[in-house]
Amino acid sequence: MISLNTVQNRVDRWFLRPFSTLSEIEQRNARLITAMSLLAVIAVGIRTFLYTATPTFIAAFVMVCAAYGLSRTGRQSLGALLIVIIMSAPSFFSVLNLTSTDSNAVLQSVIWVTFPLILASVFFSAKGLAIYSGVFLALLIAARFINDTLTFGQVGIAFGFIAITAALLLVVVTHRNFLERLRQEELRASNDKLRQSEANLEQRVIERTHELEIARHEAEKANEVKSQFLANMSHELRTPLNAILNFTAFVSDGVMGPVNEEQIEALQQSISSGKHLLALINDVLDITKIEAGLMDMFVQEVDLNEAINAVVAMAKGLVKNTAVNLNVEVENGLPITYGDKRRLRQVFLNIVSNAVKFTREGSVTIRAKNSEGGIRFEVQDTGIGIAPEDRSLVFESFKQAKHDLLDTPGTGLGMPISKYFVEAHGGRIWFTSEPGVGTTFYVDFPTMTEMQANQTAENFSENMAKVQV
Amino acid sequence: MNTAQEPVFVYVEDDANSRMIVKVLLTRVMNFKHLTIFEDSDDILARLEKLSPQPNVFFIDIQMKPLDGYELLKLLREDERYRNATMVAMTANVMSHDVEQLKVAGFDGLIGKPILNDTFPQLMERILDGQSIWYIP
Repeated sequence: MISLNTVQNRVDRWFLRPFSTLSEIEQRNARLITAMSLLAVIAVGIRTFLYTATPTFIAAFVMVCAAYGLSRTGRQSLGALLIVIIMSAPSFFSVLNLTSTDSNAVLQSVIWVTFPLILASVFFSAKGLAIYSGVFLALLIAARFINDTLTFGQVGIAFGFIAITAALLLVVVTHRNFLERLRQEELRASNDKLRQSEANLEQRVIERTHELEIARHEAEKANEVKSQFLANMSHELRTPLNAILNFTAFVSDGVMGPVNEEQIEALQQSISSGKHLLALINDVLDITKIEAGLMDMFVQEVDLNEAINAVVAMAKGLVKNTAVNLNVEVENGLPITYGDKRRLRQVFLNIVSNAVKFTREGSVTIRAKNSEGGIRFEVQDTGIGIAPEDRSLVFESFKQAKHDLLDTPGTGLGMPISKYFVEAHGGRIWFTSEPGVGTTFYVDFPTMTEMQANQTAENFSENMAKVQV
Repeated sequence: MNTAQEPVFVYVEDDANSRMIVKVLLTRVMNFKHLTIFEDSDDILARLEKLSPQPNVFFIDIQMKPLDGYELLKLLREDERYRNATMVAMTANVMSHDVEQLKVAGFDGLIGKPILNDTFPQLMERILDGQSIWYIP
């Protein structure tokens, strides 16, 4: 059973094979020749088999079939030749058998050669057309000698007509060839130009990619250098402070012998300055790392109750011996989340210690409760509040509003750093305030899985770095 | 590891100030009796062997030569006498990745420098209680 596919393939092969390897122009010619030979087959066939099946006609029929066969099998130039010959033959034979003495008699027979001449100009090259015309003209002269009844005059008129027609067609053909060649050259030129600019473009892309690679590599190296520098600085700055803080404390605490009140006070001032210096070192290193996009967070499991309670304990120490009461409204059962425990504690403590710092008397209330998807942390104080014109300074580095309550000056970096860490944990920090009444700071923290926490921190740090560039 | 009854301390530190500070803190402020301080890690196993009683809490400085704190930790842990001792790093290298590195290396805790003398006693209590403390001042 022959499937449709094989029929399709067979048909494709028969219709396409002769033409598939040729250029477009030749393909068009080939199709034309095939079509014409098919028409010829049909026309001659009808004339032969429905009318007179004379040997001549049968021979002609066989020849047009051959022409069709040739053009179908890729030899379309041969097919064209055959067609042209078949079309010219009747004229030639009629001249051979001419007996009329009319001066135009030969011309009348030969005028039909115009059609094969035109076909020849389409399918043959200029040389082919010239050869064909030359051969026919020669045959015409030969006919004069074979058929004695013809005069030179008769043949001459026909000769002239064919010669002029052939010459005109030759002009057309050469002009057409010239135009084609011109177009081909133009095409080749523009192709070459295209290929050249393609090559140029590719080269530029390669160069640019290489440059970018180098730049990226340099940027990475620069970051490494920066990171190493910060690590070194941290180490170098902390080591002397170890000696300063501890030796001063030892003397002040009487470990190395008795000290009087005055000495103790002096040494305590030293110590408190040293501690302030330590806070500065920590904050400056933090803000530098943040702004270089090099801040590293240490994500671990965090029990929020534990973290907040630790801060509450420290807060109790801060309000001791002051006129400020500490109220604690911390829910139990706050969730376990993932984040940098130390930084979270840092944020909570920063907010609380600010509240204590800026409250002369009254209370500081620490609240923490479960909220949707996380916790809400609040610190409300009855302090001096934040003036409207200072509101925008709160989260900016090194900006502290001027007022007279600063006996322990801050670093001016606590809030910007806290804001960074809140947001690097996917949270939000904001405040409300009324000068003379008090301030409340709010922090919303979402609970996160370990992977979420790592991802959020990484994205945030990268974005910070991008902003700097 | 319960060292509450009588901790025996060893401190390996190449900085003179740090040595003095820890000595004062442990022996004078907190009145611990057993503390041996090494300036370097040369022949440390041999020197440790001679101690009596044998140490069960090690304070290790990270930035030392020829063996740094990590290599020293590895050396001590390979010795079965000290494998289960409490090993606490004492260093001014307190960046987050440093802390992570310490945990991964197998330290039981970290007391970052500068040591704060007022918080030191509580830290010690918790360490001796078996807690893992990672303290950055």
